[in-house]
Amino acid sequence: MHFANLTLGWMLSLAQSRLGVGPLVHNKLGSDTSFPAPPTTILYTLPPLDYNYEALEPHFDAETMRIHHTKHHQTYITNLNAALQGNEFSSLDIDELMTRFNDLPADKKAVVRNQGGGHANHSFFWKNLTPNATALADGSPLKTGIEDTFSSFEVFQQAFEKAATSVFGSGWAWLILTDTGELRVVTTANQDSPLMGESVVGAGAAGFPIMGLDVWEHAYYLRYRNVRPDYIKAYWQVVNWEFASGRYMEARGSMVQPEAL
Amino acid sequence: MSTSMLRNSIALRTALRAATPTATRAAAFSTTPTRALATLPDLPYDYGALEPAISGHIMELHHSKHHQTYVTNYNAAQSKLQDALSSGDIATAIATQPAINFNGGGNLNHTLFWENLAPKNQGGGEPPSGPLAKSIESHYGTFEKMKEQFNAALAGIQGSGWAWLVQDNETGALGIRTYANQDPVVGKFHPLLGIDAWEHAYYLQYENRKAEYFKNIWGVVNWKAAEKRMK
Repeated sequence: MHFANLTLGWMLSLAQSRLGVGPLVHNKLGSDTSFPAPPTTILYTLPPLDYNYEALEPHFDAETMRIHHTKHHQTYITNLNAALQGNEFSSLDIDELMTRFNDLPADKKAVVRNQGGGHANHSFFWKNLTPNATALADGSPLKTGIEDTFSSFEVFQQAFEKAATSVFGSGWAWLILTDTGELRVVTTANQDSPLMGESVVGAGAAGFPIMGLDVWEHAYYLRYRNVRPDYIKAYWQVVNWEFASGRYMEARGSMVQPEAL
Repeated sequence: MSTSMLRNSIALRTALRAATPTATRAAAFSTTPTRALATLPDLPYDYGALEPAISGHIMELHHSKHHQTYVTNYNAAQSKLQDALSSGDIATAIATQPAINFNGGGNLNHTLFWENLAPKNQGGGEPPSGPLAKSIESHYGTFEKMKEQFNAALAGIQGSGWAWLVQDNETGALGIRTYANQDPVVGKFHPLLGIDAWEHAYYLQYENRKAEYFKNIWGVVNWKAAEKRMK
């Protein structure tokens, strides 16, 4: 009985930290065990990558991937957790926290914009990359959507490259789906996410990210130095179009299709 | 319409000329628009001279690539602006403003930056003296307290930007202000001393450990340059 409680308690707190929620029934189980005192509430945690740090070589170098993930992304999470300790908003999944940005108390907005945005954007980014990139399939819904919007996939790529190159300072380039069902290439500054809505990113850039590229210097400087365009070209070799297609279907699935009207 | 175009054109050209420190003065009475080309200023020290605070590799990239790109793109933007002004294309003239701000600001900021750094054997790291030292004491109590506030400002920058010790043009009061991206110190304040907080300024040497860079750079700050900028 004692052993079962120990195991259950351990599994429960592991599940809690994976889900990014605080401890629920922390030491009620197995109260006669010698668990150490509970840590400060774990809120958001660093998601593991689906691939090794060196898996995206030679396009994205291993050192950048390692520092980007374990240092930059981790720092956003650490700072976000410190800011939202004891705040009800910390129970939200990170993407939901972004969409609920306007509901945040005024004194939390700046820190959530920077640190929460950083966590959301990077969590998305790692899934948006893959060592086993395959071309976006002809005739697939996302490819068709891109071709309908931009006249060809190549025109979309040029638009995306131009946007990514033209960010002055730090920011991101995105392909988003707006809430009127339009595919659009947009940029955001610093760690702003299109999910935060138009009061933060402006009416043009608000929407659901389909794919995106970090153009902060830390994302490319070690390998590409000042030559951001080379980094942008390399990105095409590691885009996870399956993930992007899934995002597109997910977003469209929650929308009324124009044809149905 | 043509009168206001001429007025705008003169005002903008005056501002542009003032903004390029190495610009040659165009013929005052010429009726054809002339351009004062910005050029990359030379460093008063070798690329490796600021080690170990800033590596020679960073200095070389920062000067010969980043700063050079701002100069090149500023010249392209002002050319576009001049053409738009000459042809009365107001929409294009306005549309070039972000590129002028970004690249012109980048040129200005980096020019000032190289001047307010120096190797130890050229006074780098020596604390200020004279009126600037007195002003720092009266505003911040001590030189160390000013540095603490300056570093706090640097640490607080989100994304890319600069922190500057500035002087109020009206009151002469000192202040520490941060500017995003390459926004220049213009208007109400003029710059005394700037530290570049863009990642390219430190990443190859310090990676994400920017606090270390902010601490070390004080060893190569050239306060004499800041003293000269006081009004």
